[in-house]
Amino acid sequence: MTPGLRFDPYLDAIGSERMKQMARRWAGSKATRKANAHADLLAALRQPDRLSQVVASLEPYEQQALALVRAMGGRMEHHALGLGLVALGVPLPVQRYGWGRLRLSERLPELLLHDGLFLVDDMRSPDYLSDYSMQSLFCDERILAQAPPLAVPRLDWPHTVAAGATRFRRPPAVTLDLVGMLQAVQAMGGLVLTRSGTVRVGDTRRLLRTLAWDGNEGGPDNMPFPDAGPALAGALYESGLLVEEGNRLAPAQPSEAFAAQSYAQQVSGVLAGFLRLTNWQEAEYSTGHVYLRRVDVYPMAALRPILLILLAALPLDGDAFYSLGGLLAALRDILRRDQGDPSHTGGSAWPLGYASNAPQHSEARLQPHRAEAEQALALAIERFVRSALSSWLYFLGLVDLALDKEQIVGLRLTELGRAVLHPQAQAASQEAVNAGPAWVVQPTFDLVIYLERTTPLQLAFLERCAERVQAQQHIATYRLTRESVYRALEAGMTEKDLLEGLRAGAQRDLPQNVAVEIGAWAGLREQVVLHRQARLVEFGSRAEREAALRAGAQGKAVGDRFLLGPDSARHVKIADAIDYNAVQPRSLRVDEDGMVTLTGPVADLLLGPRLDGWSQRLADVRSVSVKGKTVQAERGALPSWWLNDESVRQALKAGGRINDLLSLLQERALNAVPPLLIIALRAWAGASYEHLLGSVAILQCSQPEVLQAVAHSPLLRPYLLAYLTPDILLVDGSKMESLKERLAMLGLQKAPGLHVQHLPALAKPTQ
Amino acid sequence: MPEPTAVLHDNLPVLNVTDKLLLDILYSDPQLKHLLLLRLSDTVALADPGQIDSLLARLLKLGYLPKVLPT
Repeated sequence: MTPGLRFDPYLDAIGSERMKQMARRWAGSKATRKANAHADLLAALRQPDRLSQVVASLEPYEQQALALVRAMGGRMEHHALGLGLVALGVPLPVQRYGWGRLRLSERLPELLLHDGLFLVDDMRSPDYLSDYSMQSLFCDERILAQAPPLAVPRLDWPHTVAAGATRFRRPPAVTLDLVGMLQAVQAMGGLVLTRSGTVRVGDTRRLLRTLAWDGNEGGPDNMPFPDAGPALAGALYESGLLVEEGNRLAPAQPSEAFAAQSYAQQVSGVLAGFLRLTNWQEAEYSTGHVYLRRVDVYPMAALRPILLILLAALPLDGDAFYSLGGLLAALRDILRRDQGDPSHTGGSAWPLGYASNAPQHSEARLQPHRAEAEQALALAIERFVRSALSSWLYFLGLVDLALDKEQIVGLRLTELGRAVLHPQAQAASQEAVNAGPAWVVQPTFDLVIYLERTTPLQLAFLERCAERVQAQQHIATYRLTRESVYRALEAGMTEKDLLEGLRAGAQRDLPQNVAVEIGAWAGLREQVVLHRQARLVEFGSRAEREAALRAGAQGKAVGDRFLLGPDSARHVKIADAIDYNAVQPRSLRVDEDGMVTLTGPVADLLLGPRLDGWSQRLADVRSVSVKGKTVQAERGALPSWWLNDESVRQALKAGGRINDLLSLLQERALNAVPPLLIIALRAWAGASYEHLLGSVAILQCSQPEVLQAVAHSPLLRPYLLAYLTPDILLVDGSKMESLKERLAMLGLQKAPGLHVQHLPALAKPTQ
Repeated sequence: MPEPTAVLHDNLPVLNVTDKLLLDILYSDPQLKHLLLLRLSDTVALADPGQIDSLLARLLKLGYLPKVLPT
């Protein structure tokens, strides 16, 4: 993500000349040293009046470049910025620099960068633009704030089509999908990123499943949406709704907070994410081989903003559908203007290695190839536009599509589309128009939601207190459950808020059983209260606690000696304090036989009970240390615990995890936890171990001369493994019987003090 | 009488219920018994700080709706 939309953090990495150019532009600086220019520029950026004056003095194309980037969220892919300026029809400085064969969309961004209006969104090299990568240009938000409104020309499309079948998405349906995805990501614990930085395929599939779209490549209402999973995950990330947390993408805010925004705000944010997507495209370019170069290299991400400009250029008056052909022609015209007239400028319609005097490059020979290239580009553009309309533009509810046999033949902006693309003109609050009863609460606890009447705030309310069961074009169903109501109350909603919210949006009275049951659920919540991080004061006796209470301590008396509450330590002389968020001191000795012993008195209230859960306590005593002095010792010796097979198995049965016990021992033991005990604990927890040696035997002989003879015998060597002790040899157990036969042959089977026998097997852990 | 001195235990998870019987019932569940480390009184118990999520999940599974307060 962009680390910010201000120049400041990028300035250290730009060159001296560019710095001076920017300082001249924005501060009127004549500084000759980079550091002075830097300081002048920073000072100017803090002066809105100064910036306003400079922006007013810019060329129209420069002002519109700022307006365009602001409209696109503060930064823009550089090809797209160049194409956008062409699309806006603003006079361009084509006489500067002699454009050669480069397109306007390639030269304009370079010019804007050179003139100090923009920087490249690259912290390492913010003043270098590469034609061969998709880099974004951005401008300081303080400058953008002074830019004039975007002047989108009105398109005059004569080709309107009669609406036969039409299809569009209502804003609540869009919101439900977006909120559903955010909730799904939350429930999944985030989308896992692979090493290459893409979202794991399985996670994108799970994300799509939450939307319950039909068809393999289909989006909502079965409209084509290729590779929808990666596209949606990417757009949510690029829009800032998902943020990186370790190796995952997680929601940046609760889904309810997102749902509480206006429909236009929600969609504008995700739209910006789609515009920035570079690792997904609407369709594959498959123009085939064309002789002329650079026909098919417009990145689709660069075409998206142009498509939006064209949609914004549609007349707002009237309800007519405009033909797809008109849109395609307008887009082709923009690209043609971008490439220039090939007979004059070359543009992109020259072959590689062009030589004007070469016979094969004569105009007559090139003409057929130009026609082929133009046709290929037209085909690619149509594939892109059709796919863009049916995928992200339809998904976000921006376009109303006219269809003929499921093929898009026309389009117009939806109300939401107008609100997003013409925010000033559509300032009237759609929510205010729609506010009112929007659902029916049934005695079964189901809520039937009429989406056309629902406001974003109402949807946010429902998302907080009910579970969504299903959502269709016009109606959604939610259900009030114990868990959903509990979740809402835990999030800070009161029972009164909940009932009033349900009643405010309901067309009919709330069924009595629903209101009663919600009250009962809220009451249940008062029965069990968990204080996550409470303060507890422990006194030596009940009398001492009473004295502290009289002296001004406040809180709830617990048991004989405790006082619970944030003010429980007020006016109390604290002799020792334990913060259970901090690492506790080591105070245990852990032995190989499972014995765990307290090495000194501790005031920790939890250590003993935690060990009790895993072991058998041998001395039931707890002592309290106050500044090194024991103020209470119930009985004799310090306690010790015995970890054994039975005690560990019981703890595991009660839900304990062996790793928790190992962590406890490792954190609190003064000595290293014996490896043999760790193995035993894991074995008691069910870890399986396999034999290291299936069969091991020993040969023992009390007579040194016999043992030496055996050990050094080439005949017997294959049977022997090693010396174990001076009078014992280790024998390969699988060969023990044949060794015995050999010894018998040698007459040693009855040698005094000679024994051959199996050893118990050694073991190694398998996990 | 000497001035009372005491030990301050900070940031401890504490479970507080409305009556003794309810805490008895909670302790009768082996999993909750393992998670509720020390019963301080008829109605108050200390929970394992590292197992709060497990405690809440178990309570919800058993049908309780615990109110969770930060302090």
